[in-house]
Order: sequence, then structure tokens, then C-alpha cells
Amino acid sequence: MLSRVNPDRPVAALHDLADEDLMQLVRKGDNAAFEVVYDRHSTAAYSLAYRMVGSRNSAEDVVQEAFLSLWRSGARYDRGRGSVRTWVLGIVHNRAIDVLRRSLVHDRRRASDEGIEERFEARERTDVEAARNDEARELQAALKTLPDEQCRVIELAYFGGFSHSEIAELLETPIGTVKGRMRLGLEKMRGQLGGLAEAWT
Amino acid sequence: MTGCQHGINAGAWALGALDGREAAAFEEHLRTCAQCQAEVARLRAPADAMALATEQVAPPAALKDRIMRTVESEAQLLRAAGPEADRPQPARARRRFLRTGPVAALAAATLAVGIIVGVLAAPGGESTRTVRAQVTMAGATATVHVSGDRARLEVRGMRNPPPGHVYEVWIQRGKRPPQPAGALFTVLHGRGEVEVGSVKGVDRVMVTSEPAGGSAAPTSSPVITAAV
Repeated sequence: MLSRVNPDRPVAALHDLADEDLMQLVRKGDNAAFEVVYDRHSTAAYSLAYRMVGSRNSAEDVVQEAFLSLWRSGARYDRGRGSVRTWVLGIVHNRAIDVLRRSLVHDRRRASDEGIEERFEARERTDVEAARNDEARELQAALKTLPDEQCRVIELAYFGGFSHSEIAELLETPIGTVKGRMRLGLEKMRGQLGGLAEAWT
Repeated sequence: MTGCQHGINAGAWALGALDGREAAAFEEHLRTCAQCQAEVARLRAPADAMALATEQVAPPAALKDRIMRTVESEAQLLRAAGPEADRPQPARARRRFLRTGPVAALAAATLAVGIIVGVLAAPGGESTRTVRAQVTMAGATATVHVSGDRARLEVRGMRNPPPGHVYEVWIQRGKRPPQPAGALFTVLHGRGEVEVGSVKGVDRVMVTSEPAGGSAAPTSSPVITAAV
């Protein structure tokens, strides 16, 4: 059954609902519920996209595609497999990787000449408005506690979309070492985050 | 940490950093190795949490406006479809409906009510170019209007696909398999208009007839092909 959107229902009531319950409404075509989901996660989504693709236009495209796909395929969300936020950010991550793979094919060839790592390090952001998010701060702080070499491989893999062999080439480091650093770094992140990491599973 | 020799791959896998073939091999190994399963379960949370480990920046309000315009118009079509959209469907179609959510309902709704799916939020100020598409249906024409990175498809003189089917839009880059553009449509009095979305890096826009709800890959040959 499709439920009608009730025009008399106060929007405030939607704000009290958990993400998972909102998704039940979204899959029935409830645009007001979708808007609440968007408001909750669009900053994290846009920040991730912007960090990965590095331009406002591309980041907007990525976020728009991701949220429209969420709207049109909400039924694919399975609460057994994680939070709505993890799911949304996973879609954004995949779309941004697609963009990177398309646009960087040639750049990657000369990556080592230009010090491509810098591209994925925190950029100067004079063109976007900063937003506050304590959880994001905590995660950034946790990442900073890692030894540089672990932090670098994780950032290149996650934000840059590079494979371990590409990273090994960029950093002139054996593949086994790169894999080991990824694993140790994630392990350490997990320790730093404590309960926060559990919330992501 | 695991004592299994494949455990070294767990971190790279969680970060999506294994190459395709290697990822497949590790996933195959994961099916049977409890040690590696546990390791992956541990490392997945911090890997997923990386999504937030970056400076937070506010998305522009115009982005929300654009997204909500599309969402609201689609929701409106769903509501307009009313009881028709609630009509019980055959078991097979029903499963598809459940899997694909509003779009499938929208397609069904459109077939029932006979209205055009696809509302375009035209970006202002950008130059638009128009590409005439090849259409296999006699008497029909199709044009793709490209503004910046975004495209809109317009058809005239088209017949609707067979009952239980909709037109689905695909985008193709180079020789790679076509990807769904996330747009389904039908026509009214031969006319239809649909937003294709971003066509950055896209070589071709195509349209095929697909079972209501759309498909993940084309199941018939293109009715419309446009080189963009």
C-alpha cells in the first residue's frame, strides 16, 4: 500500500522520527520525510563529496545524484546492514569515486610528478562555508593521532580512490607495507574512536 | 588481528583499495575464513567513519532547492496516481515494485494516469545545445538539450511502450556498459520530456523499453540514441 502524504501532519513530528523510520516513509514516496533525511545528512554528504572531487560543481552533482538515487530506490536500504547515514555516505563515496576514476585517468599517469598526495590533503577552502559537526571533529582528531605514513595511505585510498598498488607506486613503498599500514591505521582509528566506531557498524 | 595470511588484505578491502580481481579473490576467501570475517567486521567501522573525517562545509541552498523540486514533482505524480498506484500487481511485478520504490510506483502511476514523468529544473544562464537523436520508430523525433553538464530529453511522435513497460534512459561512456540515468518515462499524445541528469563525460544517451520499474541493464535494443 502506498500511504498518502498527510498535508495536516505537522512537519515537526517528522523531525522526531529516527532515520530508519523516515526511510519507511521515503520509500512510500513521502517527500517531506525525504527532506528531513536530506537536512540531516546533506552537510556530511557534501563535505565528503567536496573533499573527494575538489570542486563545488562536481560535489553538487555527486550529492544530487546520490540523494535522488536514495529517493528513487529507498527500498534498497536495509537497516540490518547499518545506519542510514552510513548508507547515504556510502552512496556518495561510490559516486565520487566514479567521478575521480573518470577525470583522473590521465592525471594519475603523472601523479608522482605533481605530488598528488597534496591534492587530497585538506585544501584551502575559501569558497565554501564551514559547518560545525562535533562528530566530524572527533573523527578528524582521531585520524590525526595516526602516524603520518598510516594516515597518508588511508586518506589516499578513501578520499583519493586510489588502489593499494597505485599508492605503493606513488609513495615508492612495497605493496605489502601499504596494506599493512592501512590495516594498522584502521585498527588504531578503531581504538581511538571507541564507542563511536561501534555506532558505525 | 588474524593469524591468517590473507588478513593483511582486510584493511585495504575495507577501504575499497583492492584491485578488482584481488577484491574478488579476497571476498571468495572471506566466505570460508572466520578469522578474516572477524577482522573485516572490526575494520569496516573505522573505514566507513572516514566519511566524516574531513572538514565540514555547508552545501549551497540552491542544491537543496534543485533536489527538492525534482522530489516534490515526483511525489506529486505519485499522489495524483491515487488508487491506481495502490492497485495490487502480479507477484512478479510486485517484487520489482518493492525493490525499486517510488520510481516503479511512478512508472505505474504514469501508465495509469497518462501523464508525463520528468520535470526539469532548467538551470538559468547557461548556454544550451541541442542534439538531434536517432530514433528507430517511424515518425518519431527526439532531441537532447544539454545545458552545462545537464541534459534533458524531449520526444515527439512517440508511441508508448507495450503495456507493463516504460521507457528507460541510459547513459554510456566510451565502450563501457550503459548505466541507468535513473529516469523512466512514458509519453502523452506522443510527447514526453525527461531530465537525464549529469552527462559529464558521457558519450551517448539512449532509451530502451523496459518492464515497469526499470532495469539495471538494458533488456532491449535502443529506440533512441543520441551522441552528446
